Amino acid sequence: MPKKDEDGLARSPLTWEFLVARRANRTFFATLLASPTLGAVDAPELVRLVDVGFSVSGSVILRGVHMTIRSGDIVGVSGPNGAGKTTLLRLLATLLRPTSGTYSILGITTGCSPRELAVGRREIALIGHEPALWPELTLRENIDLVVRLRVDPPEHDVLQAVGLERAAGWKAGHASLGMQRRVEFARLLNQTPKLLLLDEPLAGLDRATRPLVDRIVGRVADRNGAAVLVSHDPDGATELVTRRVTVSAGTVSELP
Amino acid sequence: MTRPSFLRQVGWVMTKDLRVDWRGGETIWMVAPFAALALMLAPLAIGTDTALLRRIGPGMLWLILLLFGMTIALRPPSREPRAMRDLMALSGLDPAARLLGDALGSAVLLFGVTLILTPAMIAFYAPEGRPLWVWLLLLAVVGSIALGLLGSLIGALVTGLRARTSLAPLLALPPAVPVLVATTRGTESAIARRSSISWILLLVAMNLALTVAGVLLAGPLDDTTN
Repeated sequence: MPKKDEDGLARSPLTWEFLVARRANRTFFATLLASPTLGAVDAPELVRLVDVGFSVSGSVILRGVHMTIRSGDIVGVSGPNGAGKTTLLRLLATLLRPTSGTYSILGITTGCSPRELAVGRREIALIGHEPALWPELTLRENIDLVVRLRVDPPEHDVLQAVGLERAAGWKAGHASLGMQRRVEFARLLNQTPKLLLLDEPLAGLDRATRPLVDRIVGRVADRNGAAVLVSHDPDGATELVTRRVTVSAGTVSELP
Repeated sequence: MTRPSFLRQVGWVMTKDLRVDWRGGETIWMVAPFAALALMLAPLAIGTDTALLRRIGPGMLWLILLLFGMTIALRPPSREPRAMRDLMALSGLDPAARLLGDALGSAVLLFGVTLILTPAMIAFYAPEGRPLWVWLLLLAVVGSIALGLLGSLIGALVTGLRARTSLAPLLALPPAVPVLVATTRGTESAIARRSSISWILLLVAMNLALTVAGVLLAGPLDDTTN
């Protein structure tokens, strides 16, 4: 009689053996990936994804993701377009809920309350690939509005730090993409998140502004946080990256 | 990291919404003129039947305010692109504060539109009347808050759904009926120089119920729609 897998589907003995072997391999690599021996052994764990999967309307975007991120880690995530990199980033930002598996992200766990979620999210910063600025507001207002929610009063003029003090009164909708990206990074100068997530961090930035990204990422890692930098190009992240991960067709694997 | 109080968060969202709307000019240059135009066109269609105009005036006023009000109130959550919604979610903003801030922002805008439309309704529909303006003012305040709360609650409910544009009016209709009845009857009373206090109290009770529902549902709704 043919054996049945978890879904209750009949499999031939050969297929079944293949599945068992594949599962054993996956478990082995998952353990290896989640193993503290791969990162800094003593560093506290900030993120743990265990067999996490994500699908939308039956389409599998990510499957069997095992990932551990420790304080001080700067993880570079690369992979082709549509591989699931942005979805992984949004899962790490707790903006998407996995459809399978369990997770713990800065204390936010699978079954936590909305209030715990709101509190934990304050330690996470995300810069996606489309600028999160209100086009009707000026660059200064876009900074002040968000900063006012996190720190009171703002520590220093962050627009000056990114060389935009003369454009402070411009409406964000009239600013170039590069300027909008700089404003987004300027916001981070007044906060130190525990988990910094950047999607294509260098896109739209000129060469002179790139050290700013390194500065922000380095500061987060130095203050016991971690950063995840997503790029379709393996060399598109900063040189500070300490671990490299690749996403391909929904599976995540660590590069040596 | 200092976390602003709940009320400050509500104020923050409200200020942001009002500033964005003021700069965009959508309410001032689009919603208010179109609403006024709609209110003026009905008497032209009906003609010189003053008794009929006087009877339908309050209903027309609040029906137009309901329609345009929902357009205003449903905008904030659905208008913002995903990047903005992500930013707000990760800013640690209390979902309930966000919902109430959106609602109050919409209510302020609606109150402004009501202040323009109410005298226009009196002028076009009941020019011979001498209404009790205090009651009309109080009705404008509580009615605007009711529509703002209703719109924000429905907006939060449908954010992220594919069918949000068609679903929102269907969901808004049943709870909007008591608001429409109370505001219309209250306005009729004020035009007839009678007290509108019972209708105002009813609207206050509805506003309290909508506020409690909003505070309780904002967290789970925010989590689901993300």
